[in-house]
This record gives sequence, C-alpha cells and structure tokens, in this order.
Amino acid sequence: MTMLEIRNLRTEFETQRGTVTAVNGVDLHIDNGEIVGLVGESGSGKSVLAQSVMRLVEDPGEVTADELLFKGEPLLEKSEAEMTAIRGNEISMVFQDPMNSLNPTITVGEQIAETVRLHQDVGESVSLSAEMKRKIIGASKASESWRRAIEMLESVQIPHPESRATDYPHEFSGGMRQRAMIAIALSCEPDLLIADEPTTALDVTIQAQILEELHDILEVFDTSILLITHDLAVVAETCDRVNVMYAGEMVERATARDLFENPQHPYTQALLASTPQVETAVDELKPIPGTVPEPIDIPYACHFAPRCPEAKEECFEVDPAFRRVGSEGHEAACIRREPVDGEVIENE
Amino acid sequence: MSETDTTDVGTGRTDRDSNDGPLLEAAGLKKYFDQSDGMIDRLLGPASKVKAVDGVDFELGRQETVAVVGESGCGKSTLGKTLLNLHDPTGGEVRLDGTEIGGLSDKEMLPYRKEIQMIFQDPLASLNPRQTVGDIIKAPLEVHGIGEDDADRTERVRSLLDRVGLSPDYLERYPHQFSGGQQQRIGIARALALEPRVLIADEPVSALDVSVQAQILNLLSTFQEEFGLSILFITHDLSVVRYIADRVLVMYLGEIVESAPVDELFESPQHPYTQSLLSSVPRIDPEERSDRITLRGVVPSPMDPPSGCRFHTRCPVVIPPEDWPGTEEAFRFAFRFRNQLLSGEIDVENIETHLEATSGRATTEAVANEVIADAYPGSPADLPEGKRDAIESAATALVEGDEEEAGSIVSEAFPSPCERRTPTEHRHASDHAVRCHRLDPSAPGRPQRIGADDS
Repeated sequence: MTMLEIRNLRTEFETQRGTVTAVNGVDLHIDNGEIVGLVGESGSGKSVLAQSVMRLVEDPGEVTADELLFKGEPLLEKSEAEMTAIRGNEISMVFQDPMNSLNPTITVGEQIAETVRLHQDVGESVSLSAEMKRKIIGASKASESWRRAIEMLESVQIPHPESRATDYPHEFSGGMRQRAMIAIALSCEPDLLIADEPTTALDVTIQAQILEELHDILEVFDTSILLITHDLAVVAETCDRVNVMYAGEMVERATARDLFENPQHPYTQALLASTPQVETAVDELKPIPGTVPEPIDIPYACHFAPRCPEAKEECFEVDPAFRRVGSEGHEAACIRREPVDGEVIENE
Repeated sequence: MSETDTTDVGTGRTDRDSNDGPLLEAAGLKKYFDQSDGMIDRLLGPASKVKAVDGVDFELGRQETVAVVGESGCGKSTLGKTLLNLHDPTGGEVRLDGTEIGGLSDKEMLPYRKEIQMIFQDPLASLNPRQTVGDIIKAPLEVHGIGEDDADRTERVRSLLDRVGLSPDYLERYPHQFSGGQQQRIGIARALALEPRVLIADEPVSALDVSVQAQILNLLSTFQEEFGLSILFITHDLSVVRYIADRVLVMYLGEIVESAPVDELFESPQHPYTQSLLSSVPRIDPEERSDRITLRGVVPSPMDPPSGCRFHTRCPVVIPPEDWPGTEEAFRFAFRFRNQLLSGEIDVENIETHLEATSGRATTEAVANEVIADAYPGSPADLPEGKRDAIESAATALVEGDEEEAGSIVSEAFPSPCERRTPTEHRHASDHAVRCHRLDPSAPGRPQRIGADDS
C-alpha cells in the first residue's frame, strides 16, 4: 500500500524579486514500511518539500499539487484542525538540531508525555490550566502519559529511562537529545516519520547508532521513513529507495543499490565524483563547477544544464521528462539519456 | 641554494627553509582550562580543570598536510588554537622552524603571526559583516606593513581574489553577498595574503555542500604546491581526511592515540579507537561495509579523564590481567559492569522503584539480581566462581548503599593493565605510532587482536 503519494507538487513564494519556486513539480511516493531517501545539496528544495507535505509552509508560500495523498487521503484539502490532528500523530518529524527543537525549560519526559496527551486519548486533561500546573510542579509520575514517555525513552535505548526522564535537555548529550527527539516523534506511533538531516550534527560514532535505531524503529513500529540528507553514504546504507533533487526538481530515482552502482543523471554522477570516500584513495576530486542557481524564474529548462558537462543547446530549451535508464524503477530526468524501453514517462 | 632560486617570486620558500627539521612542532603540549569562574569556586578548594590538550607531541613537515581527527570534545580545535598561540599553552613547547613560540605575548608573537594563519569552519562568522571584502583581505597587509601604499595593497588584494577564484571586481562587496563556498574562499584569501608557511584549517569544509567542498579542497591543494604551504587540517570527517592528508593523528580525550601516514592508517588501523571510528563511517559501496564496532559507554569528562589508557572505559578489547581464569569475553563483560558501577551509572533507586511497581516488593537480593541483569551484559554464570561472587557481593553492597565497598570489590576483582598503566608509544612501523597496550609486547596481561574472539 502507498503511504504517501505526491504528484507534481509545487511550492512557490512570491517575493519582491520575483517568484521563488522552491519545489518545482516533484513526484515522490513512499510505500508502507519503506525507508526512502531524499538527497540534495542546500537549496535543492528538499526541506521545503517536507514542510509542504506537513503543510507547514508559511506565508507567502503556496503549495499546489495534482496529488498529495497520505494513506489515500488528500492532505491539501484538510482543514487546519484536521492537519493538527495528523501532525505529530500520523506524520511526525525529526530535525537536524535537537537543541533547538526541544524546550529547554521542561524535562524531557514531560515533553514526551505532553505529546502523548495531546495526540492520544489517555484520559488526562489537556486544558490550559492543567498543562500550566504540570509545567510548574511536574507531571504525575503515575499517569499513563508519563509511563508512556518512559517506555519511549527505553525504546530509543536511553539508559535508565526513569531517572533520565526527569532531566532537562541540556543534561543530555547530543546523541541522546536526538534520541529524545525521535522518542517524541514516535510517541504516537506515526505511520510516517520525516527525518530531516537527523544525524548531520552528530559524530560518526553516534550517527552509526542513530541510523541503526531508524532501522529498528521500522521493524518495531512499522513506520515508513522519509530520510532527508545531503550525505550520499548515509542514504546508501540506510534507504531502500533514493530520490535525488536539484534546484527544486527531482532528477533521478532508483533503489539505493541501482542508484549508486549505476548512477545515470549527470548531476548524480557529478555529485558522486565530488564526494571523497573513506575506502578509496583518490588522486583528484572533481568538483561541480559553478553554484546552485537561485530558484527565481530560472529561464532554462533543465536546471542543471549550465553546470552540466554534457549539456547541449536543447537541454536549455526542452523540459527533461523522466525516462527509464536501468532496472525497473530506475528513472532519470535527462534528455541526453536514451530511455532503455524507448519511452518517455509523461509526468506533467 | 642558487641565486636564481630567490628570484622565484610568489613561492617565497627558497630562502625561508633555513633548516631541515619539521616546520612546526610541539612537545608535551598541554592546555588546561580553569573551570572556576568566581570567588566562591576558588574558596571551595582546588579548581577542577578541563584537560583539553594533555601532552601532545607532534610535527608538521614542510609542504606536508597533517590531519587531526577525533570526536567532538576530543580537543582537536584547542590543539589548533594553542599551536597558534591563540590560547596560552599550560605546558610544553611549540617551535616554529626551530624557534620557541609557545606562550609569547601578543607583541612578541606579531612577527610569527605572519607565518601561521588560520581558517575556520563558519566563514561568515569569521568575516566582519561591516567591512568590504577588500578591507577584510587588506587588513593583515596593513598590520604587517606589507605593500608600498594603499594602491599597491589594493592591487595585491585583487590578485589574491583572482587566485582564489573570485572576480577582482568583488572588492567592494560585503561578506553576506556571497555563498558559503565563496565566503570560505575569502577566508582563504585573507589567510594567504601574508604568504604564511603554515595554515591551520579548522573544519574548513564541514559547513559546505559536497560539490563546493571539493572545490575548496582542491584550492587548498593547489596553494600547497604554489606557496609550499604546510597545512594542519582539523576535522571530524574521515572521508575528507583520506583525500587531503599525508599523515593523520587520531585524538581521544586530549591525547594522540595513533599517528600514521594516511593510507597506512585507513588500511591498517591499529588502535581500537581508530578501528571503531573508521568502522562507523557510512560507505557508499556495499562491498566496503564491514561490521561496525559500536562503542559503548559515555565519553568520559575531560575534567577527570580515566586512569591508564583513557580509552579503557569504552574499549571493546580491554585486556584481562595475566591471572584471569575465564574467557576474555567474560572479562570484558565484568569490566563493563565494573566501569558502570564506578562511574555511578547504575541507578539503584530506580531499579527499586521499578521492582516495587512490578512485583510489589523489593528485597535486597531481588534488587541486587536486577542490578546485575541490568549492568552485566552476558550471563554471570559464565564467570569463574570466585569472580561471580565478586559481582554478586558488589551488587549487594551497592543496593545496601555502600558504594565505596562495592567499588573496591569490583576494582580488586577485575583489574586490567589498561586502567593501571599508561600506554607508551609503540612503533608499529617506522612512521606508525600507536598508544595501546595490545601492541606493546612488554605489556602485561593477555592481549589479543580485535575481533579474534568476538565471533
């Protein structure tokens, strides 16, 4: 079953300098129980895409899509109240910087318990006065929500969860804070977890633990995960399928294995050639010349064309449609690649 | 050295290399930070000190790139700043081309500043937002009185911009008008304005996208050849190290635990810390993935570093004492139990509450059993008899509130040469130094290679 189905999603911001098209007609789908990677450099629009799915894009941003279906239901038609019920409950999110997403004045356990009370019916009052009281004198340790908070800390392998739950975020190490964030995100057993650069701020040793954690989550909670990152190696190790984004557009998608064994889009190839790898001593990295274009009224068809070593005149004029470039499901949007089955995929 | 060499303008290295020793070297370098920050702290007794860099020996050769790697908090950035005298060293020596520069005053340091320059992780934070790029790059030239007049300096700045790949017309622009990669280029132009011999680069590409990161790394390599630069490259990113470094130093809690030429280190790491660090790096090629060596336990505080080998609290291959009767695995489990007990990680109260909640009552024996189940990773039944008793009586003492007794029981029952003796430097190869008892043939105990009995 499809967890998330996105077709032709656009997110635009009107600014004084013109229309910023942060996400420009993107397709993406996530099946049940899959870890899907979304890779791109800064400015590729990957985080805005995630915010668009959560309907968290702020004014003057405008999201349109032919389809934005979560478990078959159109998210764009939901009211704000319905979205609030979905966010944190059915779809939740983990961010790069856990210190900025945790409240420094409230204990970690209470922050998880709060999420549980707000999203699940545990029979505890969530009125303003009741919440204020808890913030000041602390939650009852016998409450259902507190018990659940401790269970969650335990499931993300925080040692001694009972005592750790009464700690404040600054008393946690970076890796533990990120685990606590994951605990909050998972506390309502969401169907979809969006993790935006969850390990970027962490040391490799901790990163390895958190990535392992994501796999366990998938098994235990049966949650689908959208992993957003700039790190190709993280995606290669963690994801089932990968989508590569550049300057607001999707350029290539495939299973992780296919993508890294047989990258086809010139951008994916260039990205790999510029990535230093720990196992191989290379003499020279090949940087991609130039910079990512500003997403304001880009006048040429393929956004990568000006930096592309293979670009021809028509690349600037003809919109690149997706075509199959390898095994089943391996598609790239580049007119310089011959489709293996001779067909161009109509996606717009 | 012939006359014609000195006319080789631009490299400027021909007459500077006065001797053949290392360009920059440190011996026993220490930097402690005082944690007391007020009267009351001082009155309350001796201040606790953070030992950020604790006895580091190191050499940077001419035109060499040495990388310092380690997790956050290992002291690698402090090492860079102490070498540059931005921090006063607490002890030890720093020599630049044979001249002692450690602890010089700002004024005395001025002539040497020209020789050692630094670039930082966050280029925007290190560039004055109110100055134009031209003024920023010109500042060091003015301070050191380089160039005949302002027009000459401006000309130098223009040529520097050109060399780092920016248009000389950007002179009048402000830092925020540039992308991250361009800002880092400006930082490099400023650092190179004085034609230094040493460049200390602290995470210079960590904030950049990979495609831009490669541009900056290649720029640094080009300059190294053109100017004969020596580079000290501080980073946590091992993939970048593999690409840029000639030699690597691995740092843990303020000490260098392993140093080797880059290929040797990556292909044949010897220290268990280096091995687990390397195994944690994600790999694109599935063929290259090996089993992760996950480090357990928390990183100890640099205020009170562990005795002996500082890595012993997390080491996956800690050495049993010579008279250890059981298997090596059983010893490691017992040693982990010991470390958790000694570091106060075992929360008895918690276990008591938990037991009371689930079974209604918590006898000393039941709680002690629970403590063992919690903190001893395997089954204590695999332990030799006397040792099993030690675990049990330590747990009982702990539950009864006698932490001291519990501590001394486990310390006595499970000693390891790793926590008793500070490892000395062992030469695995002529240029490959490791500080680990497992490699020291004269070390006591029963050392065994990593992975030998883990399967």
